[in-house]
Amino acid sequence: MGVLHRVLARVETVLNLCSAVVLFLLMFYVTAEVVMRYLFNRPLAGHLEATQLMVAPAVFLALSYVQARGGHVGMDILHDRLPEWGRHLVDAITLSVALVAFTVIAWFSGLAAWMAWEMGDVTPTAYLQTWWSKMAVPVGSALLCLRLLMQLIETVHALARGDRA
Amino acid sequence: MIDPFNVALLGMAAVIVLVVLGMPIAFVTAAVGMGGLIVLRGFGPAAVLAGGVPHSEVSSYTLVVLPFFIMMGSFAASAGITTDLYKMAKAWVGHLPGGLAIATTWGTALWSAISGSSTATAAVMGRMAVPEMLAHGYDKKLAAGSVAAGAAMDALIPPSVVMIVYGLLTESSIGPLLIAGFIPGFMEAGTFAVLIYVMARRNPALAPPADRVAWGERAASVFKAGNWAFLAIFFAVFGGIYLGVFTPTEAGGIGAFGTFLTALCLGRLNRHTLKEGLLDTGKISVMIFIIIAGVLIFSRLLAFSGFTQTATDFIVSLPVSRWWILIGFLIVYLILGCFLDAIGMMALTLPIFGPIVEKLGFDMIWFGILVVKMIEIALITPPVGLNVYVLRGAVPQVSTAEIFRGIVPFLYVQLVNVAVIMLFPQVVLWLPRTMGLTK
Repeated sequence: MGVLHRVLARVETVLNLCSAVVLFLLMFYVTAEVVMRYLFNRPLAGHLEATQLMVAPAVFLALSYVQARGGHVGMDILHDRLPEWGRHLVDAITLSVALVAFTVIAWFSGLAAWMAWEMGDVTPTAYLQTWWSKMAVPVGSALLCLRLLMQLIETVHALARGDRA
Repeated sequence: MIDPFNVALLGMAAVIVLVVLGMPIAFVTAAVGMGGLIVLRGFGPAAVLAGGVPHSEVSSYTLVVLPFFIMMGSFAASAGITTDLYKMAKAWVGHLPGGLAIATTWGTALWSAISGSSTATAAVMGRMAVPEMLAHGYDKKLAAGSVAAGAAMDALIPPSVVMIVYGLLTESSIGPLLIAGFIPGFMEAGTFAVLIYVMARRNPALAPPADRVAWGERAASVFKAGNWAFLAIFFAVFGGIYLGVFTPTEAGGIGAFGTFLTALCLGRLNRHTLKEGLLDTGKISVMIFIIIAGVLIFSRLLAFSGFTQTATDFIVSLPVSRWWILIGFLIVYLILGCFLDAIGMMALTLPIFGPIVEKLGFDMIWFGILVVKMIEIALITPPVGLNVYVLRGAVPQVSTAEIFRGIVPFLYVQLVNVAVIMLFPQVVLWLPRTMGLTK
């Protein structure tokens, strides 16, 4: 468990950094596009679709990191007032719901990405390949599922320990 | 056969229960939305949706405006633009009654025009302005109140993360929405300045006068690298959006690049600040994107089940003035503000309120400004009062209770601002209607 923890945390950090770098590169890309269009009258072909395809990797690769660091927006006013066992119970329920939902998302978005690769799916005007962008969804979601599963196991452990005490 | 309307109702109940239990809003809305669609359409079609929607919902060119504006603020802070703007405001008005507090609100207002995050502003300005005011013998409550209330303006003055999220969730055009924030934003800064002036005139003990700065020094305070950069970036970004030359995404990209270049040229960017700034940008953006994706999935359930239509027709047919419905909605925001942060409030309400407000014939830009005003109030009032806690973290010499008490006069002035906007919508709508794009 300890090793898995460290490996997962490491992978999350690296992917999160990748996500930040993608956003940073997009900044240069959009600036370059504007400069080319207005100063040199040579617009970069397909920049709209290329920019669009970059968003999914930026979002989904960092998904698990944000969950691990408790960065998601929610309401904690009741949660913080529950006794410890109640908190664990509630966490177990919400983690399970999220786990089921993201397992479904990971599986079917994986199929969608696979289809895009098989069929050579491209964007409508610039004919850019889409599979690599679609692939980010199952990869990020699967990693999130792993993170949720580990948090669920820890919560259930804590719950079991608390009940016995 | 299950009644689709009941499925939607059940879904809404599930969302409320799970959110109250503390589950992240993004996960709740995605899970419930998907679950509801499975019930309504069967597993096959819903599974296809689950496979495609997460990608298609985030793959939007418009969405990219958000990380760009967050980056812009982060690089601008590294470049020291905050400090230059504040020093300039201080040199010009610091000697007036309450002058340092007035300088703080105006420094914050100017700074807000290139920064998107209100809480970050509260931290930065708090660390800079509060110790200075306290050193001059300013009342702790006035010092803290002016920073906390001033930083809330950042949510109104573009670029504003809150406003962009409103635009994305209601699928309204981002450019006019951003431009609309200027007049109400600077009107607020103006009324705050008047309030501080009057308070300091009536009770000079609140704010002992600071030294008058010589004209030469005042002039020198204007010609600082940070101010030049501010001016150039400001006009490139908002001039571009206003004239319709740039899309908001392009403007954001250029603005981020401009502040990045400024920080780099002034030698104020090192590997550490760059990395921290980018990671922070990534974290906030991802958090917001994933909420938007989740909420849009849930909105599909509401729309597909016919709930949106039925609820809208019902509310619109109520035999009361549309103004009461609007005021009711605004009160809901004030109540929700006690439990949720800005993004969470909008995520849970706008899929339902948005269509109703539009059907009632109110302008969506104007409603957006009012929602932001409610959020501003939520940012500085207990129990959540995010700005207050951020400020408290940044300036340990002032207590939470002192900050909250310092905010009270600003709150009254804020309510006057809200009333003016409600009575005179043209305060909000005039500027965006003169834009190049909207014609």
